[in-house]
Amino acid sequence: MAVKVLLSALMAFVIYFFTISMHGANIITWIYGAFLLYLFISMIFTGNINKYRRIFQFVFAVLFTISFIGNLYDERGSMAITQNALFESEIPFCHLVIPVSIIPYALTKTIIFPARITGHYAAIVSMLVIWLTAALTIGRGWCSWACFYGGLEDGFSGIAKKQKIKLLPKSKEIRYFHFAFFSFLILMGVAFLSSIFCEWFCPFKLITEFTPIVDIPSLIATFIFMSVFLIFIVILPILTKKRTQCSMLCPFGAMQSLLDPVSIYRVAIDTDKCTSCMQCASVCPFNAIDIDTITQKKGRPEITCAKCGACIDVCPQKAIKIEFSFSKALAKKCGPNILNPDSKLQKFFIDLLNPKYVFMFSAFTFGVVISSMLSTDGMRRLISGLLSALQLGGN
Amino acid sequence: MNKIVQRTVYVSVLLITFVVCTAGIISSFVFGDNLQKMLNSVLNIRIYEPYIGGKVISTIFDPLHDDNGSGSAVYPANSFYAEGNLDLVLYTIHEPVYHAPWQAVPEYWQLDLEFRTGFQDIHKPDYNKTIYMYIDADNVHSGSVKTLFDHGENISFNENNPWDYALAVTGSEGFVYNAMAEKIDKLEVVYSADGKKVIVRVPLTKKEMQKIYTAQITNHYVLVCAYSPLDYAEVLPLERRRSRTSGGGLTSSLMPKVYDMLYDGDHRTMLSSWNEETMEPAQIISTAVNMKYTKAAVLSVSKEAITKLQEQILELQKEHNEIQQQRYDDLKSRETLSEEEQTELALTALGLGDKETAEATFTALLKRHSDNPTYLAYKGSLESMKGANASVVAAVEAVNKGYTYLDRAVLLTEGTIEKVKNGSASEEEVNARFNALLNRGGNSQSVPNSVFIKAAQGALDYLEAAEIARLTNNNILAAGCYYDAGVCFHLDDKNNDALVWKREASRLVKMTSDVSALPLEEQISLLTLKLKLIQEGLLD
Repeated sequence: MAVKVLLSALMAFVIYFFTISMHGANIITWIYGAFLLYLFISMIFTGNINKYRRIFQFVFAVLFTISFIGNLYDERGSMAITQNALFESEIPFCHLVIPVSIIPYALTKTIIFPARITGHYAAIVSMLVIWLTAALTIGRGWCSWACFYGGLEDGFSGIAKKQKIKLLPKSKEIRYFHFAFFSFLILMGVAFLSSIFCEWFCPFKLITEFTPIVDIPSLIATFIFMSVFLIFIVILPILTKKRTQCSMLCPFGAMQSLLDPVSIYRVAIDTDKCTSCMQCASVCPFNAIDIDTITQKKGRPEITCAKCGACIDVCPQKAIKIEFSFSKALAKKCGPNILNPDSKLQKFFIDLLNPKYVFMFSAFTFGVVISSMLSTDGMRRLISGLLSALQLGGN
Repeated sequence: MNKIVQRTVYVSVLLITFVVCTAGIISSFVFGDNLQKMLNSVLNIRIYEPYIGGKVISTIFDPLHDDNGSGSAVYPANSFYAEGNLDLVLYTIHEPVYHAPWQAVPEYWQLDLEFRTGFQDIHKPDYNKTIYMYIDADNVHSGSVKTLFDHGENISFNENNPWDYALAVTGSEGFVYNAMAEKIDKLEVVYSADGKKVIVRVPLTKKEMQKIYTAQITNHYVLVCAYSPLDYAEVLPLERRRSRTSGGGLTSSLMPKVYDMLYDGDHRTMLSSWNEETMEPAQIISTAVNMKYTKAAVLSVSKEAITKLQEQILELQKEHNEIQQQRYDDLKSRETLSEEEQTELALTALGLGDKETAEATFTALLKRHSDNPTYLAYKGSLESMKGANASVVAAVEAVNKGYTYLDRAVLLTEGTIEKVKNGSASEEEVNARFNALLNRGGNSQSVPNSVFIKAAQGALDYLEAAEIARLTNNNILAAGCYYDAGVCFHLDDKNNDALVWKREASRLVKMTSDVSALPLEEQISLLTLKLKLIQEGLLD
């Protein structure tokens, strides 16, 4: 209990600093701050990670979209990428570009994307710093906790009550497809020195910015990104209750999966407790648990696990938990149950250093920091939009 | 390992993990600016050049405030023109590009022109320039020495470098022509969002244009005129007196209809070289550009000279501090002080680092005059300074609080520059505006840009202060402000802008000859600025 209170207080400080203090104390920042704190307290006290995480990520994605589009209209009067934004390297740099940029950078010492280098929150170097911090700490947990796009799929996947299409038997093939597509994007990026994903496939162009249709290739690209959005962000998540774009197409997700072993946290399955009920495999939005994972008693989800907590919440045996990636090595070195749970102080430490709580804190911190500016701006735009609509209605 | 050691190792590892995952993540965002600088110093990131015009092979500076043609030309009297709109400050030539990704025309040659000022309203752009760029691409005596269209700019070209291509940018569009005045292709003309930069992309897809790919040296004549779609060559004429439909200052029918031209020096002599007797127009010379990238020579100054300058500054500062200290002691010892003396005490205290006295005095003064811009500006700076040694949360609050005062000070002094221009501003009003702008600019320069995003605003504050200083003939203050604007632009990742304004600061510093005749405070400012410029290789 003391640890939960302590972590909640610490989170209140983080929220106050990044949401209220940095963006000016006003009714909107206070409301958003209170909402975030409510989610965190609910999460840590009920232990129900996925439920509150999904609410957060969905709200964030919606407010991000409103804010981003609003800002584009303010600056350019449309969502289309303008010639001067392109010529002057003013296209916002998003994390999805990072994977396809790495090898071209190694070859040419340049980034194959016309964005600002520094001095802006959507600049290349600021995004790289955020990515490195995330890669070393929460790993692919970024996709479930801080990605500003992921919440859309979370939202759509919550619409239907039951899965209309079951992807569980095809989980392995889906993972293979994801990495094959990732390899294709990398190779194309190197061959053409261009971010092929952004140019042809990125579904989020529909809610951010896109190239105006001026010729046949741009018409085809528009058709592709609209189709990808409809199929992978809307229709398939509704039918499968999975995050299909994240687990099939997203290059950042694939890269984070490969880098996840260097992160501090991982999800572990206690094979002794597991009764192979497959509920975890059924709910995993990233297809990271399949029949083989359970039957072969692998003891952990597959590489694509994004630490969303869905399996932890649903496991009837409480056999799934979050642990530090070095937990086993440390226990081997120092011996199991090294701390005495009878001592009050040691019990406090055991609780405080519980990987589940520390993970929730670190992952939610990312969410708070990344979301604060855009979400509060989105709220402001949403409220002012609603007020003007009400005024118009009244008149 | 015995149990205690094992337990210590276990707890330490977990505690370190806990700290990394809590304080570590938070710090990575709070100190993101420093981490970004560190990371970028290692990675030295650049954008793949074909996205952004190709590798820059040459940047040519043109002096600021030389947009009066042959010396007397004045802008037309209509609202489409704001001061500095036709003042070319930087011309950038890129390497020709082929197979560029994401571009409508993948084979092109990009030329950038930067002007002192841009659109007055970015939502209603004024495309008010006609720019002619004449290029001699083969360096042989073939081509034309006349302007593209008759009755156009009223100039002729150096016979040694006749032009092969003419790039005509009229308003928001442009075309490339050959020496026979035949249209070859449409140019891609793009204005930056603020309208200060005009990006011209010459398509190289047509065979006739591909000479550019193999050119060793190109010679450029760049002429900036006022745009008029209804006049000859789409160039607005000049008359004796300016009007809505013409510029002013005409002294001869042969006077070029050009406001600025590319020339790293004083172009007025060249543009005044018409001959009334022979009726020959003014002849201009071109600027040669090596089409292969070569590293620019860096000005080198001996370490001894720098040390000498540093010593000189220290000596002057010591002397200045002594005078300040005396005055401070004197004011402190008095029982009653007038309002002016109180202000002086606060400023002296601030100069000597006694922030407490300074703040107490400004707070007391503000109680009596809550809308005094000077008091608000200094109070804002002092509030913001509290963030320097405070915890992160307190620092953010201090800076935000400081800006409420600073923004108010700037707001209260709006419109001063217009008064300065029409000669109706009092000295008090000018000083109040300076204090407001310089305090806010100084804060914007000091606070981390990734957290507060204030550098761009800081640059604009300094530029306005510089403009007022220039209009009031205070060249040293103007130079300092230009330099600080450059620093702010650099913080905002606008390195070209940074260089333009720092170069202007350097030009103004060079113009100041007798330093010893200046008041002590100005001597220190000037020498400190000189030192910074020398250290950055912008002054020898």
